Amino acid sequence: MTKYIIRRLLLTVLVVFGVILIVFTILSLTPGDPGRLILGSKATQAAVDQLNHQLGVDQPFLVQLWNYLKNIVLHFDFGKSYTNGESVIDAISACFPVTLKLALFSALFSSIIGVVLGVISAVKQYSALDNVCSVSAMFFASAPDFWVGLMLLSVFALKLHWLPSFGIKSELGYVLPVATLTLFCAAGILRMTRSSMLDVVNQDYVRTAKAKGAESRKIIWKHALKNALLPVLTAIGMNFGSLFGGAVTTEMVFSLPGVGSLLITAVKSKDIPLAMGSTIFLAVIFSLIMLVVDIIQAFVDPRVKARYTGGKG
Amino acid sequence: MKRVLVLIMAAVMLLSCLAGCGTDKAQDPDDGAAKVLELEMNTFPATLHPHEFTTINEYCINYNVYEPLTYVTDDGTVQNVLAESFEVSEDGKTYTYKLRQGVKFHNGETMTADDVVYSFEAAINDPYMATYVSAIESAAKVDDSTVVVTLKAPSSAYVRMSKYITILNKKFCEENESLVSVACGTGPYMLSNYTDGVVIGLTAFADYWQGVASIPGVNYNYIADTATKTMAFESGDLDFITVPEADWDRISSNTAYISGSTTQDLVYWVVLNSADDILSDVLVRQAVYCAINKEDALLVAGNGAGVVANVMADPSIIEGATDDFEYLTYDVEKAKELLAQAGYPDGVDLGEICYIGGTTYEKIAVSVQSSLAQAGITVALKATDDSAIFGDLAVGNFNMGVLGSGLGRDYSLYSQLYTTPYLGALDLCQLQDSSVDEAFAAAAVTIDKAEREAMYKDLITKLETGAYYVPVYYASYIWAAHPGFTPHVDDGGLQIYYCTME
Repeated sequence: MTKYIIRRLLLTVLVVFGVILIVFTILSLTPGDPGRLILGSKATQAAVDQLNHQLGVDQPFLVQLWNYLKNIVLHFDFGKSYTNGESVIDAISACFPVTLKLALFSALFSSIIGVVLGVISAVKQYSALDNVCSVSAMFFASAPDFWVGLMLLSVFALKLHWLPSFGIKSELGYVLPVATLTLFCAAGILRMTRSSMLDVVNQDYVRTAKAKGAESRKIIWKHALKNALLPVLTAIGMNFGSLFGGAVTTEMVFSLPGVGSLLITAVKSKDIPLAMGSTIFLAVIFSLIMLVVDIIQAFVDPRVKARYTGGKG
Repeated sequence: MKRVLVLIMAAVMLLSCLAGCGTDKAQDPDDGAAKVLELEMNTFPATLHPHEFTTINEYCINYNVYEPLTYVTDDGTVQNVLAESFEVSEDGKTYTYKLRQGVKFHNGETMTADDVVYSFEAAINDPYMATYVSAIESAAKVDDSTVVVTLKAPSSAYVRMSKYITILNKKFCEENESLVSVACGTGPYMLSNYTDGVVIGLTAFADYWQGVASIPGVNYNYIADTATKTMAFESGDLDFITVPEADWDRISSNTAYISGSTTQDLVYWVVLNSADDILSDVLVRQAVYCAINKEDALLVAGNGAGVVANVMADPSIIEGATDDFEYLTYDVEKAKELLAQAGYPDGVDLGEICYIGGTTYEKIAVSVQSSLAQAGITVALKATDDSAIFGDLAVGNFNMGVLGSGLGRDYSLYSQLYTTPYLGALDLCQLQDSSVDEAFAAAAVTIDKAEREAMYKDLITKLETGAYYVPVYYASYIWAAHPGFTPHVDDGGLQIYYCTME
């Protein structure tokens, strides 16, 4: 098992390095003069050139990439924002709690809602509740999250005045963004749980348990769900990972100061250090979550576990 | 019953978890305070340094925190602000300012001549201020209440430009490494809350030299999305907004709100690359000029909120500008005629028209493309982003482009768009004409107003008929407020000190 974890960790390092290389190359190739962007259109060309020299962006691409990697590896230094001179690490640290809360609560509620409704849907297949759940899941899975966000804003902020329309001046500010992401993620989990449960409830061992007179609730929630949960677990993990990066539009719609908003602002202003830092950060988070999901799956799934424990497991 | 129980449990968990959320970044700036004014900003200021603003939001906030020595109002009147009075020497090169006494900074320090000299020197050495301080040679203290500013040459624009040199507190600046997130001015409002990416809060300054402001505080809330901004206003979470053009008809016709529009120093234009193979021919440029239907563009892009522009600098607000000459107008037949004279009787392909995607510029570009097609001129649309377009235009890597500018309310500043020193910067049309360079330089040092205006008239005629830029329309600052709030809008946006709120 240790071998498996080490292998996955090495792969994660490779993925992060690949992300750095790709993002750095793309950002370097995009047109735009950082010095001009920082000083504005009214600054003289000499001042712009001098600033570009200070920033090191007048050096060859490979030198810039080497310096960037060296600073990360040796000093854990992701540079300073072009726009306000703030350390990239500080900027991300300040925004991360917002994104983390958003992702955590959305993942939590979408998992609970998705799994519970998915199981009920599967158990009561073709019932009115199943139809309502299936259609709703299809709707929320296909509706863009920014549109759902604006609709929720329109109802709960504009019409009913129950919740704030932007920002997180109070905890209530989290309700609509979390609801938006929850609806989106719960739809996917519900569909996955339903189809997985439908497979399981038709298995022989479930039929046998029923025939032996086991309590129906116990069969569903204890035996069937446990076996159906494996693909659902993967889906939840992936959802959780993508919530960090995928919350970008939701953060923008609700004016939340998270990592997604930071990334968008950085890209728009060609703030290369900040854009690089945010992207690497999101890539690392996603990779780590996937790593954890894979490890949990390896522990839960005897087939994966057996591959790395020589069949002892 | 079980389902209901599950749902109730889920709801309870949601509420309990959210109740446990701390607000790590955002703090409520008005806890326990009287009603503060809630405003919005679509970009979060990169800096609060008053000399280093690059966006209108940064300028608007600083406008309420910092003050200059003098200020020129929209109608051209010079007002003394931190200067009690000032005198100009006969040669027009020396400005002697008598400073207002007893003016306090937000940190409690009293303003002195040292602060003024420090501020001027900081501005002179700051690349962000290059345009505004180009005429200044030096600033020196005469005594505790007198400062002399010496110019390199007489400058007609100096007084207008000096409003951007706001006065800093020397001690505060020396104590703070940067002014990105801190502020200390003499203005009616002082910085009370800086929450990066969320809100900037100002509180009325109790020792303000003109008396404490009637509105106790202001929150500038960062809202990037325009749809969210409009909803926030309609839900009552914001007291005042600049209205997105697309919502103008709906908001302005709603009697539940107060709305208005104010002329602002912003003109949208199409730039033609005079170094381009085909567009180097003045006849082709004039054909493009005549083929563009500006009224259509105003309707499509500005939803009618603006005024069709005949010249680049709006004569109604920019000193020295005029439209008192025969300028090119929209005339498709004339455009075709000019094209035929240029050797393109069957029309011409001018390559691409670039713009920032998803903005007003895009709407203008689409409208222009359609207009040009009527005259047999084809251009392809090229969307780019705001970080890239300026680089392309500055180095002449384009055929046509759509942008806008608000260069300041003095025509001498328009030299940036046409003269050789600004090649690679704002001389986007790539014009290199020594006669134009000399004419701008000569007018800038001409103190006699009538003589200067005559010089500008000749220059404007030459530049406008040369069709380097096609001015499309002057944008209006369109705003809406809730009843009870009376806004005071001018050149710097909302001047909160003069606003009232019931």
